Amino acid sequence: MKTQTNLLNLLLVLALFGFVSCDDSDTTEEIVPLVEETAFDVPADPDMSGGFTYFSFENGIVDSTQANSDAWDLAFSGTTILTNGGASGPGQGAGLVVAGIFENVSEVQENELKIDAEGSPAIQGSDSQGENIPGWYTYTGEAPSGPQRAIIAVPGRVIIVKTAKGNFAKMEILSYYEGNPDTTTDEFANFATRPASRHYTFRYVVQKNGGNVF
Amino acid sequence: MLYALFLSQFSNELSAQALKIEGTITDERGQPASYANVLVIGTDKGVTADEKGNFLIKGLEAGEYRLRISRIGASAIEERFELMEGATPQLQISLPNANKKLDEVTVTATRTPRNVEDVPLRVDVIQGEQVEQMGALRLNEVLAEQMGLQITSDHGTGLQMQGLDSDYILILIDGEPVIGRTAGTLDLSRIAVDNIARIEIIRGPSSSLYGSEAMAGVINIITKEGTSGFDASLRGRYRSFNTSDLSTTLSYRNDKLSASLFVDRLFSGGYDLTEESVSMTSPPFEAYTFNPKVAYRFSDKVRLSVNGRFYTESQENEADIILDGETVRIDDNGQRQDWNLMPTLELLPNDKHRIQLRSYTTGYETETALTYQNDGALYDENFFNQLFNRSEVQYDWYLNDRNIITLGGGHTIETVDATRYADVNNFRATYGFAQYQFNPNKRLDMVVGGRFDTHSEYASRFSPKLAVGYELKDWIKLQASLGGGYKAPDFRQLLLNFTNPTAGYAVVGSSIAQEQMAEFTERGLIANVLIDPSTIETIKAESSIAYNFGVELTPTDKLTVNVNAFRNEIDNLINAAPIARKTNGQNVFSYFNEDEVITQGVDLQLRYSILDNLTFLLGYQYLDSRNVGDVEKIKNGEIFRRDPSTNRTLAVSLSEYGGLVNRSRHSGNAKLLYTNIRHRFDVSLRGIYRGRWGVGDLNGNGVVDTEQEFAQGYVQLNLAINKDISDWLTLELGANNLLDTTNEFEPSMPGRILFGGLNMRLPGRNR
Repeated sequence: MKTQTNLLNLLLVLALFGFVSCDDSDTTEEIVPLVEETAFDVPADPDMSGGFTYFSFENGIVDSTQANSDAWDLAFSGTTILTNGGASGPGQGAGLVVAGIFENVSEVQENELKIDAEGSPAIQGSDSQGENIPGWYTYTGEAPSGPQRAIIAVPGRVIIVKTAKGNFAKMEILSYYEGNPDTTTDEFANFATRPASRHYTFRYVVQKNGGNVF
Repeated sequence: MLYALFLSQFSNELSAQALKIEGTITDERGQPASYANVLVIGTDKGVTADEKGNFLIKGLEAGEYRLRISRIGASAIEERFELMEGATPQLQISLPNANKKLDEVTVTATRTPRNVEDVPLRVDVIQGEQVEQMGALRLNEVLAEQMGLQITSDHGTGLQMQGLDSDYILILIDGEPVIGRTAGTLDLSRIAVDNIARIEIIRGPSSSLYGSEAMAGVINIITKEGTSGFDASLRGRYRSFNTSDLSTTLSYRNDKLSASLFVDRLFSGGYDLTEESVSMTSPPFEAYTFNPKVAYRFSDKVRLSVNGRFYTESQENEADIILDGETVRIDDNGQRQDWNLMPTLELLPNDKHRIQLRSYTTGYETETALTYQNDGALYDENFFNQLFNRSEVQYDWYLNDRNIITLGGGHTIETVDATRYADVNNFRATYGFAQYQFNPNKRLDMVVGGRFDTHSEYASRFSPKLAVGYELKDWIKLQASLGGGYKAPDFRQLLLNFTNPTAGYAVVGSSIAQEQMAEFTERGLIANVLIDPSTIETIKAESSIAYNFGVELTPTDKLTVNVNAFRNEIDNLINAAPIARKTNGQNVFSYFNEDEVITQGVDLQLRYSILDNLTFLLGYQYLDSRNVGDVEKIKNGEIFRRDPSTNRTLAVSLSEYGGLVNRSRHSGNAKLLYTNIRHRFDVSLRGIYRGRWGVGDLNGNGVVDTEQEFAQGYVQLNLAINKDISDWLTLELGANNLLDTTNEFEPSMPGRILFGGLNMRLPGRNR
């Protein structure tokens, strides 16, 4: 069963490559190999002072003095994630949370992306049930089982990001806690041993050639 | 004791041995029962009948005796006779076939007393003697050992049948429903079993006769009737965990009058499986049951009976709560009662018609008080009072031997008053039902029926039923049934008005949602409305369609095998969903008809008579339970989980889906029953297996799919031994959970329980 799935994945990847290369032969875009990278423990205002951490997919964390430039792609503070565009910054940034598996999100529909508005970022926090908009986390509250009062990144949510410079990226948030802990353990459920919150670990892929296909 | 036995035998030898008894034994078809064994109980006198079934026992004194007659392939029976000087009784004894023993069993699965063989429904019968043999105190212990019945712990000891929960199983005592559910669970430990004549387990929906709750099936408990004359019994038992039970039955019966009183007191010291918390898993409690019954036959045509029940229980527990950062210990004391009164007037104008007029009134009350241990001041108290009255008429028309028509109708009034409910609430319901039982020919039995229910709070409902039984060969019987079941929305789903004081969310029942939302809005508690309360439709009853198909094989006299397949499709399952977001960020929930679930499976029951006095029984159930919406999502790749070591998302596959929580895919039991006639003792060894089951969602994807979300299966072994010390005294000894099995997800298993007791009867009375 496992090998079958792997084989299927391989076929999918091959087909995808075929598709990409066909696409490439029609246009004159440069072939850039897609690289998956992971950012570990990006702090998101851990001391709760209200500040943001600015992050660039290319250069990592950038100084907050560059907040008013296109040097950053995402800004983190608590569970709020901003893109560099609209009300949040001078760049071309936009974003959207979609349901799916990171590996399987292969194409961006640019017209569906949202732009940050004041108090309403493009990247939805928790699900908005009335409007049926998926968000990236759930708050467990007084859950009868499992960890209580924890921010858990919803499995199967992929964030599509348009970077400040107009490239497309996809990312999956793995953890909101320092050290990317296993959230199913008793250590995590126990508040005394739960790692510090407001630390993002996420993986991402940036399509640097300007295309909308991963 | 041995000395006494010896002495009695010795004196038998010496005294005048002039008296004798003769007899002829035949089988069911009237043929001689060659070489049957005949034993005079309480003596060493026994013979083997000759080829023609004749026997002669000499050397007996005058007196009253009991004979035990047994033969391979036949059920052992007991026969009483009296020996007097100068007369030799001639007994004519007919031995029933072993596997046809069920022939004698009358069941009321169709609300008319009928031979179980003629009812094309799945009915299992547990006889009172079996209950007595296993030494059970409460109903949950008896049902735990039945194939396909799973005991569950959720606000009391509940039951699961065909993969459906307690809410969907109707529990009847003498045909009338027991009320008083907490979160859907009817606590089976409220029901003492010492006065049970038999328990009928009817699988598959019976809403066509009983209405709501009879969706998975019905458990009907028939209490004992007194035998002729005056009778009395006393039974005392002691168990581990400082548990003691004392019960007595007094009864009198003559041609016209029968009266009986059953009283039981159960005390338990309780137990604690969680060392770290001060509150006990099962707190100490004391419970009393009173069950008086009176019946009077005015004539052959008129009979009046009045049954009553009163049950009261008190328990004491402690708990630690955190108040302003400090731990405070409180006493948690609870009381509950249930009672009922059931007068029935039965009219039999002739042997073709029967009319029953029944009025059933029952109440259930609970009261909990939490007080500070240091100063006795009240921390919290709550109560729940439920009152239920039903007036019903039932008419049975026996057209001839093969056709019975049943018509009935009734009206119920139900009142609920509770801390968490708004106001005092009155519900009214009216219903009518009809049923036609017929056998077009000798091999075919059919039942067609239906019931229509209207209710003041939810939509009307029709529940049909069709059942067919067909005897293909003498040793192959087929059975098929199709039925509709339903379950009414319960009180909390209609009426709950609850705001969690610490978390701040609110839950409102569907009947009061609109009114309550208006109040929340007025008080400025609502940030945004997700579902306009005026668009909320009247909640519907949960409904099901069920299919049952079975085969019964009797390849030899010693072996019976039953194989059944079942499928329940349940629609409109009621779930809580948010209707508004509060200004504090929490949600307001109400109840909706949302989900669709399926439970299906195959079960097997096998009975094999290894020897005349040694029987082996086996039961097994394979269960597949699923939420249709979840399965659909999994097929579409829309349900995910994280690999806990990397936190990367994976799609959940169908093979990982664990079905509905608390359902075991595999479960079963095996029993070995041994009776020693000569030395008058019996031994029963029973094993119960429960396969792994899902306990809940830990990884936030709403389904059970990873190993931590399952509880491991277990095996439990129970042993009971009964020894007749004399005609009037039986000693019982045994152990429940001999292997000392515990499971962190099953709080009703405290570990090994040893027990012993004495059962006394009036001398000269049959057991």
